[in-house]
Amino acid sequence: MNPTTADRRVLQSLMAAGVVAVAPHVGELPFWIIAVFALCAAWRYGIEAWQWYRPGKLVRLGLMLLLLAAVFRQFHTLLGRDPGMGLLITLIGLKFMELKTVRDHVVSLFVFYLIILGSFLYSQSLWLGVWALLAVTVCTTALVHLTQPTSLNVTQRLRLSGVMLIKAVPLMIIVYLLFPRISGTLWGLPADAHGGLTGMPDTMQPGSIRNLSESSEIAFRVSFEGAPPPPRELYWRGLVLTEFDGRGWRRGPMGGIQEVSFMPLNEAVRYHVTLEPSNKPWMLALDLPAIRPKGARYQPDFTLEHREPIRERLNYTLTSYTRYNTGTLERSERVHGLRLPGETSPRARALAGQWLREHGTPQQIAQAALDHFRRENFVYTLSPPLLGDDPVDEFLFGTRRGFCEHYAAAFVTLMRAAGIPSRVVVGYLGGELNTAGNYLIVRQSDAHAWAEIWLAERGWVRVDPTGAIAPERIELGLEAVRRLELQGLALGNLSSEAIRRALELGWFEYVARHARWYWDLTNMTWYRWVVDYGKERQERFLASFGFEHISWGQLGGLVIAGVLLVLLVYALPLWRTKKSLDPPQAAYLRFCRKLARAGLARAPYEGAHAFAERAARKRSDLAASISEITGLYEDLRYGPQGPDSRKFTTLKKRVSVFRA
Amino acid sequence: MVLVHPEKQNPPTHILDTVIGRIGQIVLGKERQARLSLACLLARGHLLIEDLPGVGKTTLAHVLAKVLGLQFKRIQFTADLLPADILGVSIYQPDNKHFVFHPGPLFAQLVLADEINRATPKTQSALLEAMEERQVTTDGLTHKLPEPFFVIATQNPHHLIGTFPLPESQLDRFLMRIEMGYPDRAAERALLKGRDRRELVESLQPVISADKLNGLQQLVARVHVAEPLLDYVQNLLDSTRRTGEFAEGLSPRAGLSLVAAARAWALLAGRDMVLPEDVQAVAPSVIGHRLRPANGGRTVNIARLLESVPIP
Repeated sequence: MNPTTADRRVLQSLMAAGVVAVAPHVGELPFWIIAVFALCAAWRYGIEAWQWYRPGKLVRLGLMLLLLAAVFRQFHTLLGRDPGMGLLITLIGLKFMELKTVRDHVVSLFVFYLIILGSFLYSQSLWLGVWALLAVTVCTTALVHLTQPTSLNVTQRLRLSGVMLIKAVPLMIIVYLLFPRISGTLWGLPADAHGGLTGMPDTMQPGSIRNLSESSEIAFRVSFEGAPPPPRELYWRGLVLTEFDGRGWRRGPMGGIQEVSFMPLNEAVRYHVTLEPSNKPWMLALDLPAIRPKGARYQPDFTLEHREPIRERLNYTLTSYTRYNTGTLERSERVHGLRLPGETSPRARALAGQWLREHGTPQQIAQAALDHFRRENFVYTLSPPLLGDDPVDEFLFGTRRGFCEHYAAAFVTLMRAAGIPSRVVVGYLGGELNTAGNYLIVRQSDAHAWAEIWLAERGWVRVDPTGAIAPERIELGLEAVRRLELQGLALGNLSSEAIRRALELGWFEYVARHARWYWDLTNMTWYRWVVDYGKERQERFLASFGFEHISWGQLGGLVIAGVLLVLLVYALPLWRTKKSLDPPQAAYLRFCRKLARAGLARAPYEGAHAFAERAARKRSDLAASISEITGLYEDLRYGPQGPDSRKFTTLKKRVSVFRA
Repeated sequence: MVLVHPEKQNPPTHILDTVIGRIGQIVLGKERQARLSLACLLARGHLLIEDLPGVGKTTLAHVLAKVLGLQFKRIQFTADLLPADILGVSIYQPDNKHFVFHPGPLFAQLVLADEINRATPKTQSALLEAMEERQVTTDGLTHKLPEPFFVIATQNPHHLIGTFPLPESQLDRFLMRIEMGYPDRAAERALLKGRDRRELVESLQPVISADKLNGLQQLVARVHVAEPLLDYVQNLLDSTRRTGEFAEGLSPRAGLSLVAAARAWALLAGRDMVLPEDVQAVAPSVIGHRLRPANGGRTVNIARLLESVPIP
């Protein structure tokens, strides 16, 4: 076979590599980009197999410009993650057309490696990791095929590439552990990589939390040091909304208050949160957090806010107290906590005025409101009717069917109308305890809204009006509520026996749930140990070996030292075989090198005798010395006399004076 | 021979060179085949010659017998040949009321088994067993075959109608398998011009005696085989077992044969030690018939195998 061309089977390996490399991008990139790649591959195969039309240089140039224009039209730029990958994938398809030399194939394969790497810009899941491993194996096998086209069959090629990849693993681990990291996680993602992240909104309109409840995406995971608090205390504080414009709720102005403090009333709970990226700065914390993690601001409303929107998975450890007294109220807080917009909700205001006249203390008024929800046939439902311009009155006196956000908004409006400082808190409630890994999974569907009222002697007190309507939501979580609702059971006063029966899992659901839990645990482990291995973790890892405050230069040195060490270990067997060289053989090989430099190289399978005859024919001027050296060597190495120091000395002397 | 040093030129080699020369006078242009068959004989192995009829197989065998002073018998194998036809029979002697063994044609120092694949497996087996044991057992009595005992078998590869191809286990009994091939143009011209080969063979005088031959065979066994050479042989064997190019790798017996043949080849070259080149020279003939390609093809590429194994 001509060494600069590759046959059809090599092309097949190459295309297999292309398919596995591009596969993860299906669904991430516009469909036409994948289609262009597939069409180009099919076309190239057609050229090879059935002599289809092979495009010339001009046609290829035209196609390239066309593809550039198409990518630009799609993304309005050629920079960034999506246009970059789009260009890479479509143009490598075009590159198929000019595959001819071995070099073309090698270049294509290297681009495939880049495309595999590029898929990590979209996701860093365990699945993708496994797939990338497979894809790299296929690409390496194709590379082996390219360099050894005939001598190996498929299994041998696979084995060879597998062995090479396994040998690369120690190098990978060293570079992974030691390569200098920038702050953040494994992958610094380009700026356009954060579209489509779900998270809590920073305002609350009727329906905004309900939208979240549709999503089973994970918001964050929590592992507790010690026993987790009971479900009814698992209120995850996100943000506090104080400003009401008659329809929606927003955050109030921050600042003014320097010292934020409260008095804990029970034991501290310590826990570790792994927060999924939300593109929002809220750092979820159990009501109420007592410490400020690194990179966070502690807001006067007891929420934690990250310095910038959270775009990568964030790990932090917190201490919280579930019972507390926040003490006095600042003047501005009181003003904001009582403000209601002008003419809205007249009927709610009237109702609150009536309670204010009937009851003396704020506690009694709050209780009256909860009793009102309980008595007046209010329904907690996951599918509430739409509300118009005055949602509070419409909900309180019209539909009476609502989700947590309706109850929280209505309750706070009533409290404010009755002169009690109050606000809406948005966050998550509960979570699913993953018994496989003993940690809590909190999903977007666990999003929740509740109220806080300020009482003179107790400070801000959490009141969850949803609990008055549907205690199941608090105790059992949203998943249970959904199941109960599906079975047509009315929430509010179900007996525990009825609930138990309704929530009993079939064996299939039981297995499925545990499988899900183990899978989540695997993913979490993957994230913690692989994807989230960033600067901090690296510093901690190195500190455990005594390397503190290490600079990039030193890290680079460590990487090089580690890589050299591994290479040395691999080279050791080679070095040892070299060392075991028979001294006469070493002298003879030196002689061979001298001849090789003169253009007379001995093939590895060529015996000394045969080589000497060949060399003597080519260089009759050297025939005598070649013959003598070869004769001495053969006697020493193969002869019956065994080691003979006199002959060996002669051999060495003859070799050292030999000049080809 | 530029490279052979005068002090290594052992006296027996002179005789061997003479033997080769004599064979060359009659079997024209086939020095390599002559050397290989002589080496085979010196290594106490049996020889299989595979080629078309009329390329000089029989002549080579006959010349070898003559030159080495060996008693020669030829057995033409046919489909109706029975084991007793080659081994011999015991015949009742009415005079002294005893069975007396009448040796068959196998009882000769050099036996030419012509067209061995025409005989039935039963007869083939009888021959091959005798080759292996160097003795014949009939009616409970063991009869030693003469010493030296050397079988040259021929077979026609293309003549498949009415033949019983030798199974691999029996091919293994032959130390070497060689092919004659057509003579080159000059040799063929000399052949056409020259006298009748048969007359020439008849007129040949032996160069050495059977005793002398025995001495040479003992010399072969004393040719030195160094550790690095055994490394090389083992690497070769290993390679046939690992490449996946062959249906099955070489057996240890094949390794023994390779070393024995290489020793004889070294002695023919006048050396008292085996070089890797000796192994390479005899390898195609020694291992060619012991290997089958894995993909079901007919021919194995020994040259490629040799090129794939570096000399340690």
